[in-house]
Amino acid sequence: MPDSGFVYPNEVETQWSLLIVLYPYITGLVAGAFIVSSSYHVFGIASLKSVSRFSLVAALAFLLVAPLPLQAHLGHPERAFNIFLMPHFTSAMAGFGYIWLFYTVIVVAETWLSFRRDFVIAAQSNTGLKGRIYEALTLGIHDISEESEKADEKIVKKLALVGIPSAFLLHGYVGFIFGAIKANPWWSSPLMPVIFLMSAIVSGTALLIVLYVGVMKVRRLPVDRDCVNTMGLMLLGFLAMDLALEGLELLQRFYEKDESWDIISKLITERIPFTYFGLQLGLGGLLPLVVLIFLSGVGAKIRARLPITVGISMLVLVGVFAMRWNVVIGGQLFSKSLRGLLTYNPPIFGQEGIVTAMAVLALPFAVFAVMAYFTRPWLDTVLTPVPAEGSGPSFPEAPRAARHGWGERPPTGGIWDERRQ
Amino acid sequence: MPHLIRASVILAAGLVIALTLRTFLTPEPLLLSSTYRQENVGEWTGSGWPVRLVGASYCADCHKDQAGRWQASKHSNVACQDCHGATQPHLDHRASLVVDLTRESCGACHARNPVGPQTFPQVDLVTHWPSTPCAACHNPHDPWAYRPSRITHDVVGYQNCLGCHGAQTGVGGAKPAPPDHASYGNNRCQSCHQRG
Amino acid sequence: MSLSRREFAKVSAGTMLAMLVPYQVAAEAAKALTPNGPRETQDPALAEYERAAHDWAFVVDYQRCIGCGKCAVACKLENNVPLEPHFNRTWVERYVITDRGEVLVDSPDAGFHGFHDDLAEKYPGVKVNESYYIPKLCNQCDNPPCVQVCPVSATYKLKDGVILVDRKRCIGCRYCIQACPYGARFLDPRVRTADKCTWCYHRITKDLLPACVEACPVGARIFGDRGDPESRVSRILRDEKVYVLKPDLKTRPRVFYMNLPEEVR
Repeated sequence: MPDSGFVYPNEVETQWSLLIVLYPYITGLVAGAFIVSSSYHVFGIASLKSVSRFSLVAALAFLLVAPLPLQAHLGHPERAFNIFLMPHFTSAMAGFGYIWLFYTVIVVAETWLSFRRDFVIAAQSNTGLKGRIYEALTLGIHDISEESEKADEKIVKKLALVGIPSAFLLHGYVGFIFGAIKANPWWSSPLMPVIFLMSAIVSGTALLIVLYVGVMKVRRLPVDRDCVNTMGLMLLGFLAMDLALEGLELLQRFYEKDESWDIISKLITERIPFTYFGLQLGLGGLLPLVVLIFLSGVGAKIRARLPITVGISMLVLVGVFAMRWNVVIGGQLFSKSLRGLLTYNPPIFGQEGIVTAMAVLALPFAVFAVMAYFTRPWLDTVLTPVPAEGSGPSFPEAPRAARHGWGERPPTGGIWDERRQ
Repeated sequence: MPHLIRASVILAAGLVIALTLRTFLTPEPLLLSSTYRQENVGEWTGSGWPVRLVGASYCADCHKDQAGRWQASKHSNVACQDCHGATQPHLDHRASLVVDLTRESCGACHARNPVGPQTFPQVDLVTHWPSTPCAACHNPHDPWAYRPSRITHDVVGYQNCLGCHGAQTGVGGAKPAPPDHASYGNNRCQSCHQRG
Repeated sequence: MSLSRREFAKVSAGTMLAMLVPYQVAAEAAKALTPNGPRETQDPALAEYERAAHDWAFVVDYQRCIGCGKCAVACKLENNVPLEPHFNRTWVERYVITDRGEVLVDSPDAGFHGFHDDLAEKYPGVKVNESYYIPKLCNQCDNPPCVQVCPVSATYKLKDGVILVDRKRCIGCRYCIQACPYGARFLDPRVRTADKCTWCYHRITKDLLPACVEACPVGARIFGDRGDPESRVSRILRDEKVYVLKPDLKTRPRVFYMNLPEEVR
């Protein structure tokens, strides 16, 4: 609804709704989770081993749900495949089809190769429907020799390496979709793809922290604090970069005060002050940054480091959602005539309503639950103290013999053996 | 490695199937897909998108008198469809065209409007013959056929029009008001007679 | 599987090439042999219309505009545009410049019912320095951001300058609507695809004028072929000072405004 100043007559309807806020949020979570996983495989950050496979499952779960909000929002959802069939190569949005497909292939391949051994063992020790599902997941081949494991590892490393620029592309192109629109001064910026990417990594890392700790608590297993601390440091680093970029963008607009500044300053002070200053930059940005700095330095040894990190991660997740809202919805709350403001109140029900959005956001967790049921990534948690500094207190090993659940024979060989040391 | 080969074969098979499907599902071949669907131009210009408003060039074929009069009048720039609406159905099957002759309808263009060119003929609908339909004086096809003569002298100091233009010929050869003006009164002369 | 990886790669690559290459070649040949496009000439009305022979342009003489709204009405009648006020292929804006230099713009119902409200009531206490109407429509840009961003090539530019939207291909993603700097596009809720002014393409290809041009009683809208040096638009473009909307965006519009004031966006 127009309620102040002048808007072009056709602008009264908000074109991109809540569902379009969800899409970059979900793909951002994917990109971030994947970067955490690749940090272990490619950059060799050993303390991330506990979540290296966990994050792959999470990334895949969110990746599979990612196209859903897009399709649900289309005027003709049944024509969604036109993106694949007749892509227009000058359009960033046309990249969605093939970039998402390519990236899904990479993540599926890497996840499959990472868990293949476990699937083989499980296929051999489970019967009934479960056994058949595991059998299908092994593609009918039960070779888990040393040689095949080495080959798998090599390929996983390569995929993790290729996956990093692919993840950049997957989320960077979303930023480009907005950043390349010269008609909208709130969107048009070369910083947009980079900001989207940084906040994606931030949100993915935060998601992993929350999801990992949550799953371990549900499973009543001890948490690898070292891993969470490392993820917290990653969160700190990327959050700092993200805030620096977002702050820089705002600063430049404020300094240059070009033609669009009048309406944009009205936008951020009258229409989105709570989500912009309150959530995106404040509660979801500067506050977590300060607390994480504290936790990485002076507060490194406090007992509450884990729950504080989890709480901060939740704030970050809200903050990144607010950032997506501010970009997508915020960009439509002012007229391209630069003379008026509008409001957007998402309906509760309907194709693009709040209920649909909540369902779309809940779905990846459901998918994750199903995938986690078959892959059991919580068993990866390494609890032996990290040799060099001993930066955290050490915990006794999980009662593995009673809990591993992978059939009667304990797993042997390959990556399982490393844990026994 | 057998599992890698099997996985690659499944992937390659999927790719081939997708490409095959794609070739048959799209009207354009693989690399040309980034061009538009050429039949669409015909869809915009063909029978699915008929012309609905036809103008004088069509109306004049049958309505020669009105069109001729209109062509020579002050309304010659006003298209027939502006007042007569969607004219094609009338051309096709003699659908009747109802003209809105209310004061508001004429006022759509001629109501007093401080915005826009002030040389455009405007009239204050509140004071200009408020309860008379416009068409009573102004033939829509020739609105100035009945056209009150213009005042060619300065009006300041000449408020009492009937002083010179009364029943008898007055000062300076002033034309007397015609008999049908008897009921108009002295203070409404300028609502028809403009300074010009 | 007894194939080695290398053999398998060779076989699958070979199959794909074998399938696609001859099809591609045939398709390219077919396209090259029909200059206007393979299927368009099926429409008999278009048989005489040679697209490459025209170069359409639109001129707006806003100083003549009286804000009657007949153009908006004619457009909605002619092009079956939804009657709600926020779906418009063309509209009229009213600009009021106050003596303090403020620019007040409005477009009640997009000008469909004219502008008959009382300015003093709408803008109380405002002294008007200048005021005018600006008709607006799709600029059929020569560097169109809307065409650039369509993910499925549903909107496209023709050689005679007009940009159209393919209703059967459009997926309703609304990216083109976001990309248009002029607010010329909207999503038609009945067909759920993007829509916009087409300069009445179905009329101009049959030697008629667009509905809004014909409807304008004061000649504020002028349409013609700028490829014809003697046409009225050509003469105006040659002899008068013409402007376009938002020239800094370099969309290269084809709608030219005579003497456009700088506060119009």
